[in-house]
Amino acid sequence: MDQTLIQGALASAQSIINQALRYDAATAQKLAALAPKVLAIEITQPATTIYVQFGDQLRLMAHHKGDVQARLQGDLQAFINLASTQDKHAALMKSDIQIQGSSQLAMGLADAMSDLDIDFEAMLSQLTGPVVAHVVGKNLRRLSGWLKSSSEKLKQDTVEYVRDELQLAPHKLEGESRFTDIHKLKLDSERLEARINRLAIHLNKPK
Amino acid sequence: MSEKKTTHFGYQTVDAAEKQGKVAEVFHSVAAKYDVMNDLMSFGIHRLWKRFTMEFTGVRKGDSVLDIAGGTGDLTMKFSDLVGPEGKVVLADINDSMLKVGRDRLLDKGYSGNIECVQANAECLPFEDNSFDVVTMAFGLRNVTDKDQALREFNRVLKPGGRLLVLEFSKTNNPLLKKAYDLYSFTALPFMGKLITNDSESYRYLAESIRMHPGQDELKAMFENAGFANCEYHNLTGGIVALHKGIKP
Repeated sequence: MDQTLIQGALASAQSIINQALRYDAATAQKLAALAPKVLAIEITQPATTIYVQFGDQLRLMAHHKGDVQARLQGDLQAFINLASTQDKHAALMKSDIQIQGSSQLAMGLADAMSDLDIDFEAMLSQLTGPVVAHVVGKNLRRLSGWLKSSSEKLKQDTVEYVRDELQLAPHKLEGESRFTDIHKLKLDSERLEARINRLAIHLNKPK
Repeated sequence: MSEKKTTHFGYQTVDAAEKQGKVAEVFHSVAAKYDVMNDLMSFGIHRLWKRFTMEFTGVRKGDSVLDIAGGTGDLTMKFSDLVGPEGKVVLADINDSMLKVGRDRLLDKGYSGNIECVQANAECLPFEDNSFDVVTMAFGLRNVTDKDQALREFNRVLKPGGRLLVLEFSKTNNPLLKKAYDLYSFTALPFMGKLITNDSESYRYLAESIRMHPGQDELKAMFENAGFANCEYHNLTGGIVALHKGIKP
């Protein structure tokens, strides 16, 4: 890919992140405390490396000639999963992402991003003034709460409809019991296979 | 009788002694609207080319940097942030109009303390040997009369291990892109120049001087002849621009 496009993407991302961090002073302070360390994010598929330099402002780079204190290596899906998880510290420990170098730096970034709480109302008030921003913010919070509870309810109703009304899927406990039986059967067959093999060897042994 | 030394000024051949004055006229004419024109002409992409250059400088806190032909100081500002109060950045330009615009812009944006503004000719730099960690020149080399001499000077003022980065228009190998680029350079650029700075000739010179500038491999060879090691170049936007890098051994 042409470097101009990569630089364009990095410049835009850097600008958005730094703008957002202006409205979350606590996270910005945590990230600034990591200065001047550099973290490399190595995406294996598609092969891309992004360097993050910590400071008063985050700096995103495609090339870095100096020392790198930590490297995170994994495929794009693993990074997307990490980004969409709330508790990034725990998710990073469990994920397929490999950490090389200072795990403290990687965990510091994960902790800071987990606690990210951007004050969108303050961001909006820069454009509209505080009164309008408060009204919009209040309604957005209400809408977001309604969307969250509605999506949970929809998920629950869909599960019940498929399981109880259409009877296309078993109950969770029923399914688990069936899987336990299958697993037990698998182990029994493996044991039986081993026993038959042992008998066959015994029978074929020259007397 | 000795023959007069000649050089290119766009597509014209002029006496080497005359080129400096002619280039100075061009930049006196465009200095006030230089940044606006750069953004318009390149659709803002010149900022990405400079961003790429910054990544390759490897500048750290405490370094001393020479931004030659620094013009309106956009690289100087970024260097100033990176080297911190313990470092030093010299914004140098041969053209006093450009330097004044750059100096005023730096002061307006609150940059001072670690920056010096110096009017200097790249062919005879007023600095001691081995005094800079990094020398950069963005879109300036094609205007220099004796490019080999300028490269030798950069080598002289760099500390051993110091890096030279030259960002300059170059040659594209893509025939379609070349066609579109030529059309744009020789029609749209002078028109925009006329519209904004009331000076189409300066922008015609810009397009011509780009065509007369050495290509990627030729400039790399010039770096090596000037004494640089580990010379390399990176094409940007299909080769319309190239970043050349060399290290003083």
